[in-house]
Amino acid sequence: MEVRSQIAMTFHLDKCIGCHTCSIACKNIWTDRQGTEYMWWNNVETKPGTGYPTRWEDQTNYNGGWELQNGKLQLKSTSRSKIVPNIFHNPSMPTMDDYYEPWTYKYQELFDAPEGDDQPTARPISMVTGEHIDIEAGPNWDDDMSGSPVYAENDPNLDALSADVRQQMFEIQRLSFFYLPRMCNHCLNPACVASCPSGALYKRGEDGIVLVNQQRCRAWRSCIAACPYKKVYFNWSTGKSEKCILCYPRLETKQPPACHHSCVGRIRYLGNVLYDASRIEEVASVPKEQLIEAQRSLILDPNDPEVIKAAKENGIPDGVITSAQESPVYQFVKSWKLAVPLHAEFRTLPMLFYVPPLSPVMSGSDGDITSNETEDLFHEIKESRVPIQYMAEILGTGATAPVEYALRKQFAVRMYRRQLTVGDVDEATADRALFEADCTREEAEAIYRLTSLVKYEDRFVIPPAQREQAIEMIKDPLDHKQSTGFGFSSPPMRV
Amino acid sequence: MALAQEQDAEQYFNAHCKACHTIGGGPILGPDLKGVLDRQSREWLVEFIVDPDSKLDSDPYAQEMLAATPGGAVRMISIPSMTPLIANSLLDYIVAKSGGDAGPVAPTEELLPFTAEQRELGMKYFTGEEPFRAGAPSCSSCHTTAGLGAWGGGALGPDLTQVMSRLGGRVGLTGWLATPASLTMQPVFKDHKLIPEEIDALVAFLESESENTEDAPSVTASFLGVGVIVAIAILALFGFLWKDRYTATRIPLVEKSKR
Repeated sequence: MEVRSQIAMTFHLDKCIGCHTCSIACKNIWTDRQGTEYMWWNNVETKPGTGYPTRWEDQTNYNGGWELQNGKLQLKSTSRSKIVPNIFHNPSMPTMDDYYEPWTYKYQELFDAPEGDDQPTARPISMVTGEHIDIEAGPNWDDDMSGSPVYAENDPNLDALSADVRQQMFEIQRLSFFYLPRMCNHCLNPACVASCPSGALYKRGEDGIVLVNQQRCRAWRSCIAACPYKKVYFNWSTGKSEKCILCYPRLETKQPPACHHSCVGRIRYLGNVLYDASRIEEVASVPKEQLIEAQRSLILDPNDPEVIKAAKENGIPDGVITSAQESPVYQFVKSWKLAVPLHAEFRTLPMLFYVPPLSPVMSGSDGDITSNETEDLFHEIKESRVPIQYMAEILGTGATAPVEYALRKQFAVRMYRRQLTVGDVDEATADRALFEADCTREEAEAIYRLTSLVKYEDRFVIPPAQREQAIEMIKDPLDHKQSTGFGFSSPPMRV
Repeated sequence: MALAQEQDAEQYFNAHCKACHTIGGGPILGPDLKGVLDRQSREWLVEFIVDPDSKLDSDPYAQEMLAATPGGAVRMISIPSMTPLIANSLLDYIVAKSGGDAGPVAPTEELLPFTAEQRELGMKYFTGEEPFRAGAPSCSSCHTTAGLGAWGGGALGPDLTQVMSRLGGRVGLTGWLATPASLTMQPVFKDHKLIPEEIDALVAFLESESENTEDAPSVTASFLGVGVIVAIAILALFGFLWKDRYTATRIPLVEKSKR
């Protein structure tokens, strides 16, 4: 057993309102520089939808992630034999159009326009060429199911559904969607790190944050093809790859990442978990349907004396173990099994977990009248507007069991709280729902508290970084005052 | 360095002068040098041998001689190792040889007509089919002749179809090939001298080539044409081989929805 600490996250999709505040917070801090205009380290997608970049989940062309070949893990995008023939052209990358061509507006035209019969307008100009463009796509072009015939209907996750179910999903009375905020998963088995020929990508030892060394990056762009979530981006100005850094300068000062901090729906939870690094390869190689359980088993119980002992032997400080014991992520992922990884079938062991969302009551039309199909306040899980199978494609590696378990438990917690606060659900019904959901009253109370009454300190349990103390031993931090931030002490050069 | 002995001077003459000059054998590329000291002062001759270019550019006598020799426009080259001392030794050697009883320096052998085998072998040497014994590059690396056709040889050096008449016939060409005197060829052949057998074969071949009335056709236009066609063919092949390569995701979705 080799115990390490990893910063992990949980996004409670049932609480996401799709406001994009997280994306804007990230953009304003990290990607407002030249060459990064098109990058959204954090973005919010509407499901069903094709996302950003278009159809990122479909690896037919993008070739992201790992696959099992004769029981061995292999990168889909590259290998020792593929890297030489593709040395001058990496064929598996999204085009600029698949992201979108970033644009701004020529606001000066509002002031300079000659007097005329109509209002002056600020025309859009490309931030790449500086020329006028007709905007045809954006990072959230399919937001709230806009452009459905192009985008929502081409969601790769719909391929597993029957034609009937697909058609029903897009009937106006049954239409439903949910939001999927995405960012770097800081995976335990990162494909981007494995693919880099320069060794520029690395996973930080103390907290597992995946970073790109801007000095060592040689613009091979293998990481861009290898990441199945398409969360490594190429900066065309510096000629280096960039990605989410999990706001590590903030984490090191005990602040949550900007996207987490700014979240309006308070859907984001962050904390470290202890895991067994010696089992990573074994866990990433199990059959597809066992991946979610295997990944859960990789995360160790921070209260187990054996684990604590092994952690201390591996040099993990006491403060980090304590924060792992208080981690909300451990509760969601391990204790309650409410949160599941996104597309675990890519085999990167993502460390960002999602609580699947409940969807509205199903309605149908009787002639001209549209009404709810159920008299009950809450509908049966299997009759969700968003078909369970669809959700399972995204969050369950195609198996409905993990998603259904999480939804049923949330349903039971609602019944339990309804019985306590409103009283229109009798105790026996609530207890039966809890029993069916494999949940006790104590657990339901804890889930309710961490979901609805959650405080800042409960959502973000950040392990102590102790970086300053370490640095102070060798240099005076005041020498570097006003010289920190994302950038370079010496500018990166194309080599 | 002075060439103290007559033997040294003879060797030097054979190595550097014999390609174009005889002593009593009649003019080839350059004038016959028999009795040259009767025609010009020793001082003038030494100056000329050491630096032929400045004399050829300005001196009327040198220009007159240049026009009168069979080589016509072939200017005497300056020999890098030449010094006034060596020039004096050479002149002594020429005086000694001009005496008469020693006989002319070149040509000495009787000129027999070439055989068909020699001509054939010469063509093989020219094209490189038969390598030169000392490892010299084949002629067609740089030269072409009418007999080889459009793609026959290189375009770096001059067309050699009429080289016989340009370099003073069989004797001149043989001398030239023994010690190629041009600034381009000299360093290439200095350490890879052709042997008499090879020279005879080449001269035989070039003699037969001189019967062609026209030079080898210029290939620049057709070479360009073929190049363009081959480039298009390669691009078409790549386009076919990788026709299923990834180009875009979003645009095809938009196209599909319009149908």
